[in-house]
Order: sequence, then structure tokens, then C-alpha cells
Amino acid sequence: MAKTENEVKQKHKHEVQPELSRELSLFQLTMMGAGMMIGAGVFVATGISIGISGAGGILITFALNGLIAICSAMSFAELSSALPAAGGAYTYIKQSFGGVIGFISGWMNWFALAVAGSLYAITFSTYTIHLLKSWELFSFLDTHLGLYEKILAVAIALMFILVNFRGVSETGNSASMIALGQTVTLGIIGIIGVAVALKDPSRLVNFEPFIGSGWSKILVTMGFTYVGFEGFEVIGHAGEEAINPKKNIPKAILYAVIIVVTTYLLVAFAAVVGAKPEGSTIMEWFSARGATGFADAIKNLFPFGGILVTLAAIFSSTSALNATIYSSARVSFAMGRDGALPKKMAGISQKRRVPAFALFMSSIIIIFVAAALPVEDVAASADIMFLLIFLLINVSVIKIRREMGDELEYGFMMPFFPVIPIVALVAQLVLSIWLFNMSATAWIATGLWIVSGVIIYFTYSKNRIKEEEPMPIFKERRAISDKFQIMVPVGNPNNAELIGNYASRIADAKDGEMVFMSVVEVPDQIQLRAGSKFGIEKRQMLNELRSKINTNRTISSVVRYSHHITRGIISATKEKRTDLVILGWKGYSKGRGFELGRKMDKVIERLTCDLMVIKPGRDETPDREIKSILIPSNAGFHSIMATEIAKNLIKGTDAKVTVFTVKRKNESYERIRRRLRTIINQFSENEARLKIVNGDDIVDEIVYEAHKHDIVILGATEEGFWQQLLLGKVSERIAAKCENTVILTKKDLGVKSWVKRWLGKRAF
Amino acid sequence: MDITLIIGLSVIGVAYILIWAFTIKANNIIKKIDETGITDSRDIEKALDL
Repeated sequence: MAKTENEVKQKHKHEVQPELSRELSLFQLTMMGAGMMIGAGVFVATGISIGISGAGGILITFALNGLIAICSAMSFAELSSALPAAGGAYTYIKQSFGGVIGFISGWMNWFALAVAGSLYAITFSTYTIHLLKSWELFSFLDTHLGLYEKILAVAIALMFILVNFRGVSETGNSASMIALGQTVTLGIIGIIGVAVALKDPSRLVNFEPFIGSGWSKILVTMGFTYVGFEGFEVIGHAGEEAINPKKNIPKAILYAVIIVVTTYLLVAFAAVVGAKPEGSTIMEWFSARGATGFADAIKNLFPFGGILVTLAAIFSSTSALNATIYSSARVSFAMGRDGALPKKMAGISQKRRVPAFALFMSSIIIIFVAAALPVEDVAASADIMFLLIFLLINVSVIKIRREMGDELEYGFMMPFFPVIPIVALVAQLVLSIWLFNMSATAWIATGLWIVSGVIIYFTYSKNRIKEEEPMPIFKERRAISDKFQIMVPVGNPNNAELIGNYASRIADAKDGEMVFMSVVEVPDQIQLRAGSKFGIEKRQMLNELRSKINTNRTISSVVRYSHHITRGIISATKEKRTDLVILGWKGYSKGRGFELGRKMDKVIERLTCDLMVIKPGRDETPDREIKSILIPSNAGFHSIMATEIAKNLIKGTDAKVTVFTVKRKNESYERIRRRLRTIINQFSENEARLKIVNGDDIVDEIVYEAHKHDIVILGATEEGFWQQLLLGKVSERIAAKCENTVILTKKDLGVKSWVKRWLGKRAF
Repeated sequence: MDITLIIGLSVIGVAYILIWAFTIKANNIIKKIDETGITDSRDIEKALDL
């Protein structure tokens, strides 16, 4: 028997859909990859590499590494477009090979990311001490330079490990801004280098001889600087958070590589032009300065150049250090979930929701390597690991297209297949072997790690590795209805029913639909999908809430998984083309600037749709009948929305509305009536009346009047910046003082609202 | 002029041009796949002559 429309609606009402918060744009993905690549490699490796392969050698090194990187990037892009949900080298190689190779790829990826973290910690300490010792106060650092560098490297690593244990992380937006900042800074330095060379061509003498010590040394520096070209892997990790991943992830990977190669070539040129060998060769000059040779060279280019590079290195390394700590923990956590490593590795702390043991094990590697090995060996170890991993990626892309191509849906397929991955993997094999000439220690460390991995696989993991745990089905796209869309982000179960009932009344009046959404915050250290276990309570809460709302309107219930609650809500409103968001507010203030609580303030600032914030009154109950509504108004943009909301709430009832204003001393009653005519005319004669009172304090007068009504509906005020800073917003001050239910409304005005905010127009 | 300078600059130039060429080519492929809506690997290979 065919189901009636009502039955279908009822069924739809009772499904709580899990969904992933897709919030990273092409720009954010690109900057994420570029930021990770620029992280530290260029600051440490440029100077050392010029010392090994000469002035022209570094340019050839970066150009050829860029070519290998773009070939590998295409392989990575193809895999990430075909397997966008999985993300990361370990998953792709495991999918392709399985068995011991799959295990070893994860084992190496974990180590490589952790060692890269050690490298970034060392970069931070090297550049910080380089900056400090230029001041007399810190001249004592020269005596035991190496020791102080190690202590500081361990200290900064410990600090960021602690930050990760606390579950704190950068937001996608701030991380991409940091990456953009460091890329632009380096780009400007490079352009200054070119300008200096054009103005003073004698500086080009530093390029003679162009290749200082032969082509074989260039192979060494290519391997040594490869760590600066692998960071695009992090874009693959973000597959489940990307908007339109099949298209944006491959693009972001390729764009990140091209941005980074161009930047590296420019800064390497600037470093050579900036060096002043005077009596020695350029290679000797850079060799003598080691990791900080790059900063010393830029110092000669323009005033404060050295400090600018040093600060850029410090910021870049800390940002990359944080990212590698949680990325390495994420790989070891994934291996724990697969059964490849002990289950404890997949344990998540109840309090902070972070994979504490996986983080702890990664921390041990990061601290040990940072403390025990010289910077060259640390960089070389990371290089060898990444070269071998990307070699396997290039084999995987061939294997997966040949064996599974029919089963997968591709968003990108590389041209000149399989020539490109074959060229890349041969080059990576040669470079990794050649690195033995640079650091035998690095190869010994890598060899020991691989051998230990093989032993662990055959003695422990082989019989324990299981098929991937079934994950909940995440809907990728849904049809968006043309009806008025109301979204209710539910955080506090205590007032959820009340807020839901208000949403239902407005949906009835507007013939709209409702989405009840609860965001589950998943820590950065684990994949969004792996956080599904945190959503059980939220699903139950939404189920209970739905059963309490008595409506014929369509309700969708969604548990949305995001690394950040604010971003999760904002991206959902954009994705679902929401017309109105209704938030609940507990009603306490945490100080200036956080009137509604830090997270809610961020949501309110960034929303691009209309907003209602409801602070339930002391005696408010979900089924209370509304008899009287107060609208304090001065006919501003937001009070027009307050009027619309009032109209929706009184529709089909006998409730009355009082439009209320406080008279200023020099204003006539006639003028006030004229101004508020647009508001009062929205209602019929029986529905609304206008009340004008004399008074000095707007807030006190409104709060006094509010006691005579059931609800107060306020439009957001638009005071200027300083007034808000000193006094707080009038509307929020009223809401805080009032014991009745208060509804704050804010109309989406787009760009104009910013202009008005700064102009400081009064609304009351 | 130093022969290593000529070879070196040629290597840098060719590598950099190839990086751009690959990126542009790849970008066009992404665009075409998105426009046509074809996702099967064999169909893409035929349609885009890869």
C-alpha cells in the first residue's frame, strides 16, 4: 500500500541524519598545504643546501624538486579525488597494497610526521636563539649554543604537545591566514631580492660558479630539501571537511605546490643575492652559518630583513609543529583503530576527547629526536621517510587505477599516465638512496624503524588487522527545498523544547521547514568519521526533542560532526541556505565582547542569514500561551525584523503587541509617531498600540515596561564601536536585566551592516 | 659564458615551465570532468584522451 504524504513526513521526522561539516574552501585547503610545506624546510634547509650545492645548485634543487613534487601531487590528487573520505597516504597505500606494505606505510607515515615535528621544534629554537643572542642581555647563549637550542626545542615541543592534549587547536581560518602571511612575507622578500639584483647587478657575482660542487651534490640537496615539498599531504587528510572535495582537493594540492615552488625559487635567489662572502666563496659563507645562514643573508638585503625572516620562521615553525603533532597522532590513532597497533592507541580520553595515548607515543618520538639528533640528521630522516612514502603513493596510483578504476568515481585523473608516476617514483628512489651521502645516521634510523615495523607486523599486527569498522552513512548532498528554512542549533537540552516550539510557530506562519541540528565537536587529532561515537547522546537528545514538538511541518534532525562548533554551524547555514537561525541563550554574561558567550558571539558575527536569540524567562514553559508582546523600537533595520517575528508569533491568536519607545528631550511626539508608523502599520488596528514614555535611561524604562508583557522582542542595536566597548550593546543589557522571555533579532544586512556598525546609528 | 650556467638555467626554466604546464593541464581535466559529470575511469580516459 502506498504511503500517505503524512506518513512519509512522519518517517522523515523520525530520522536523525549524521553529516560531516564541510567547511574548508579551496583557498583554505590551498593555504593549509602551502603553510605545511613552508613550515620550516625553507628556513633551515636553504642555507645548509647553498653550502652544499652552491648558488645555482639551490635554484636547480628547488626547480627539480618542484617538478617531482608536482608529479607526486598529481598522483595524490587523483587518489584523493577517488577516495575523498579516507584521506592520507596511509589509507591510500593500505587500500592499494594491504598487508605488510600497508602497515609499513602507516608506520613510516607516523614516524615521518613526528620527525617533521622535531624538525619544526628545532627550527623554532634555532631561529629564536639566533634572534635573542643579537641582544647583549642574551649574549651568554653563545657559550653553550647547541645545548640551549636543544632545551628550547624540547620546551616548545612540550608546550604544543600540552596544547594538543588539552584539545585546543587553530581554526581553519586562522591557520590559512598564518599560511597566507608567511607565503606573502617570503614572496615579498624574494621580490626585494630580485629588485636589489636589478639595481645592483654586481651582486649577481655570487652566482659564479653557478654549480659549486657538481651535479651529485644537487641530488643530495634535492633529497635534503624534499621535506619542504611534501606538506600537501595534509590537504588529503582534510578530505571529509572540504567543500566539493572531488574538485577542490586536487586543485588545492596542485595550487599549493605551484605557490610553494615559486616562493622557494624567489627566496633562494634573494638569499644568494643577499650574501656577502667577502674573501670566501658563497658556499663557505653559508656553510659557516648553517641553519641560520638564510636569515643572515636576508639581513643584508634590506633594513630589518633578518628580523622579518626570523619572526616568519618562528611563526611558521610553531604553526607547522602544531599541525604535525596532531597529524602524527591521527595516523597512529587510525592504526590503533585498524588493529595494526595495540587498541590503547585508539583510546580517547573522556574529558578532552583526544587520543591521549596516540599523542603520548608521538610526543616521545618528537622529543627524543629533537633532543638526540643534529638538525641535519633530523631533516634527512624526515626526508627519507617522506620520499619512500610518496614512492609508494606513486605505485599505488597505478595499481588502484588498473585494479579498481571501474569501482571508483574520479574527480581528477592525471594526464600522461603512467609515465608521470613512474618518473616520480624513480626520482624519489634515487634521492632517498643518495641521502646516505648526507646523513648515514638518518638512513640507520630509518632502517631501524622499518625493521622494527616489519617485526611488529609479523609478531603482532598480522592476525589482528581487521576490516575497517563500519561508519555511519553520511549524506553528501541533499535537495534544498524552496520553503522558508529555519535552523535551530541545539546545545542545551533544558531549553531545547521551548526554542523548538518558537521555531514551530514561525514555521507555521511562514509555511516553512525546520532543521534541528546538534554539532558534535571532534578533536583535530582524529578524523570526523571516527568521532561518530560522540554523537550518540546528541542523537538521543534530538529524538526526544522531535517527539515533543507538536507540528505538521517537516522537521529534519541532524547530528553534524565538525572540528569546531562555530564553523560547523556557519557552514551548515550556508550549505542548507538557511533563512533564519534560532539560538537559545542561558542569559549570563562573561564580560565585554562575550555578551552571549564566546562561541555564540562568533556564530552571531559570522552568520549570513537572519537571527533570533531567545533568552527564556524565569516562568517560561514550552506550552505557555502568548498574550502580550513588547517591541521596544526606534524603527531601525533590526527592529523591522523584530516586528516580523512578532507578527508570526501572534498569527491566529488574540495576543496584543505594544510598540514602545522612550522620548528624547528635544523630540516631538508627532515626529516619533511618524518614525514608528512603518512598524505600527505592520499590524491591524486591534493587534498593536504605540506607547511613548519620557525617561533618561532607555534600558531601565524598557525593563520596567517589560514586566507587564509575556515577551520582549528587541532588534539588535547598532551603536558605534566605542559605545559597544564601553557600555555593551543596549539590547543585550536589556536582555540581561529582564526576567521575562527576551528575543533578540538581527536582520542579515550583508556588507551594509558593517558600514552601519561603524557609523554607530542608534536604534532606540 | 659558463656552460654550467647555460645548462643550469635551462634545467630551471624547463622544470618551471613543466610545473605550470602540468598544473594548467590538470586544472583543465578537473574542469572537464566536473562539466561532463563522467566519473568512471575508462569513460574519462576515452572522453579526455588521457
